[in-house]
Amino acid sequence: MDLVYKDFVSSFMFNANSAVSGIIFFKLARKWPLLMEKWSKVELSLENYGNNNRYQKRKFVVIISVIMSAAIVEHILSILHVSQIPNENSNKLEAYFLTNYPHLFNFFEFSIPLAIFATVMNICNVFSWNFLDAFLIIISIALTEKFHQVNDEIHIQRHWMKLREDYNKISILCKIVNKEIADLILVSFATNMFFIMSQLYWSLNQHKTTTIESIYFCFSFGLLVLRTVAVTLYASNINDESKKSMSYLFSLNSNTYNSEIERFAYQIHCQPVALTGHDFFKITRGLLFSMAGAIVTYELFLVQSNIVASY
Amino acid sequence: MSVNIRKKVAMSGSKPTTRPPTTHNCLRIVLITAQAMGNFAIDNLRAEEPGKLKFKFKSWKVLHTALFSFAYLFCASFSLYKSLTVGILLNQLISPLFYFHSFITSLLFLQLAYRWPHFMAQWSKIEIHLLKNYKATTDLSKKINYSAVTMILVALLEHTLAVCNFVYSSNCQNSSTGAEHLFKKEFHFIFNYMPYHFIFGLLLTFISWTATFLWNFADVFIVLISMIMTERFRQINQKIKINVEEVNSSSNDSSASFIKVYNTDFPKAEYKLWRQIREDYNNLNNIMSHLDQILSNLVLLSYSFNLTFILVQLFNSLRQMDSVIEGIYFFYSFGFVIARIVTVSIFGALINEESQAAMPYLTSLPTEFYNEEIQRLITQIHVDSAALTGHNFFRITKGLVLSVAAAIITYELVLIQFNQATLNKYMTANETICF
Repeated sequence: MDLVYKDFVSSFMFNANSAVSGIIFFKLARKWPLLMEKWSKVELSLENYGNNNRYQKRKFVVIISVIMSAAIVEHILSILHVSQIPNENSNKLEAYFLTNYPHLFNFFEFSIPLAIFATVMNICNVFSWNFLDAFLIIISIALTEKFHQVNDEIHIQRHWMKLREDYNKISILCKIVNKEIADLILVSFATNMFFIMSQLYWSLNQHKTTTIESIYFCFSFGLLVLRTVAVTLYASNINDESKKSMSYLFSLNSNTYNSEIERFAYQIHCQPVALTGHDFFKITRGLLFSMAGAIVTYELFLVQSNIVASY
Repeated sequence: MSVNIRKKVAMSGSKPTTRPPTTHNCLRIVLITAQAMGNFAIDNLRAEEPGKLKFKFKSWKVLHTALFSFAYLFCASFSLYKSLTVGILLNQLISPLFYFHSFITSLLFLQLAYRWPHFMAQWSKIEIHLLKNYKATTDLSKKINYSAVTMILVALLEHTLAVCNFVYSSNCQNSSTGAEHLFKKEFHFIFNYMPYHFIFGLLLTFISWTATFLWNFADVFIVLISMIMTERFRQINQKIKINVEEVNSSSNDSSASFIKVYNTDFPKAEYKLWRQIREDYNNLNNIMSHLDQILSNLVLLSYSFNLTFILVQLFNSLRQMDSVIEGIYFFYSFGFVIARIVTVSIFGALINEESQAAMPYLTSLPTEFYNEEIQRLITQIHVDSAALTGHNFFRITKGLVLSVAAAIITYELVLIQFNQATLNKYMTANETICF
């Protein structure tokens, strides 16, 4: 399978990812006001807590700027990488567009408006690909912060009934958010896994010639892996944070222990809170290893079936 | 006594009342169709009460089933014999697998028919009670009939493509014309060893179509029963949800919740209602485990044969495709088996999901309405959630789809590794293997 096939498959997945996530975001935007209403009701009951997560906005800004700047660097590197592939075409600009967007320029003639359209589309694709992961990370941080507030409050104030009810409200909020963003999680994980596998597979077949090619490959692949790991770790924080108070509740003095605490501890045990992708998999820390195992297995299968097919 | 007779006479001119959507009534049409294909050998399927269902070993329906089973075994052994003499190429195994699957399915359905009346007797009592006290959430009987028809039609389309593939493929040429040519090509594994006769060919065609129906009926049956059970759990969950929302909306002044003193007696707790709900949930759980016992064999059979088919077809995909129709048939049949295993997994997993769906509502009850019955219910939902298992080997949840995918890839790797000789034979595209 040569370079042309690889380009077609990659650009198809790239564009399909943007299209599908665009549709899902549109559907989510319609339900967003209702979701925010429910969210703010939960936050209203938490507003008297000591730890008021003042730094949340700063965290969001940092995350988005890091991810987007990495994406810009990777985009620039990809432009450099494509423009230095040797080509017979005299017009440098035309050569760049013909190599980079074969899915358009194999069917249409080269023209300036089409080139502008292709560039704009490419930037939109890169943005939405990264925005999906950034959005998931931000939602995970926001939900984790709620649990963090309750966990801190247990140590300060001991109003068990209100604490249990607040924990319950946050659990239900997590379930509602999980239902809304289930499609986004599936799309993000599927796309990331697909790109990791295909990048790994193509890099095993090709020999890197120039320095800029190896820099580009290392940076792009590393960024991909880092993003997947970041989404998984931040999302699994929700699961971890929700379980933190369990040991504290059990180590309370027998004089303070009452059936409200028992109900609280039982709820933490019975109703594990986690983001799932439509209940297909639960995002916990162990998911990282499962994903690594799955990638290795599928990679082996691809390599084997390619050896077979190339007889 | 005379009042009853007068009532009967008065009512005989009235319109027939629609039957309640119990399992017996919803599955009636599907099971009668299956009986026509020589399958579910139970008497009195059209009766109103499920208590009248009976299974007798010495009946015409059992003889009908036995004849069909023998026919499937006949076809299966001949095709296996042919593929063994040619040398086992994995492509040859599709026909024997198909007929063996139908044969074992017909035996398992005989076993299911033996246990069905006892199960229905137990289940119908609980079901009538549930239908009386819990509102239905969907039109179950319409849903079941439409799903069954859709799944069977898709399966019949697959068999049509298979027949076209056999008939138009370039292998297994023979020198006859017309109907004889068609029959000899389609049933080459039989007509290689036995003399040709037109009636025999027609009979074999009929057997192959009923085998297709049976091949899919196991999966269709599991899906339909899962739909019914999910609906029952959903009915209970709906009642819990309504009650909890009522309670939460009536005690909405949150400022008072700080002042309430924790006390051990619950004047407002509705013991009777929650006890009833808990007992109904418990009965449903028990029936699920009984159902799981009866269906285990079918579930195991369905998953193992689907998995084997996918492995064989995936291995065959590494071969060159000669003609367009071969390509179409291969992709459709491969996609079809994958769709089947995914459908069975998802519908089976819905039972597990629905049995645990009441938890968020139960945990949101405020303290003064919480009582021992609710705690017992929460414990039961958490510890003992209902699910279909295959003889307790695995539980059908949504995560099973991913496990199945991983298993397929792993076993496929093993197959490729140990079948290099076969692959070399495949790669030389001018082999005349007649499959």
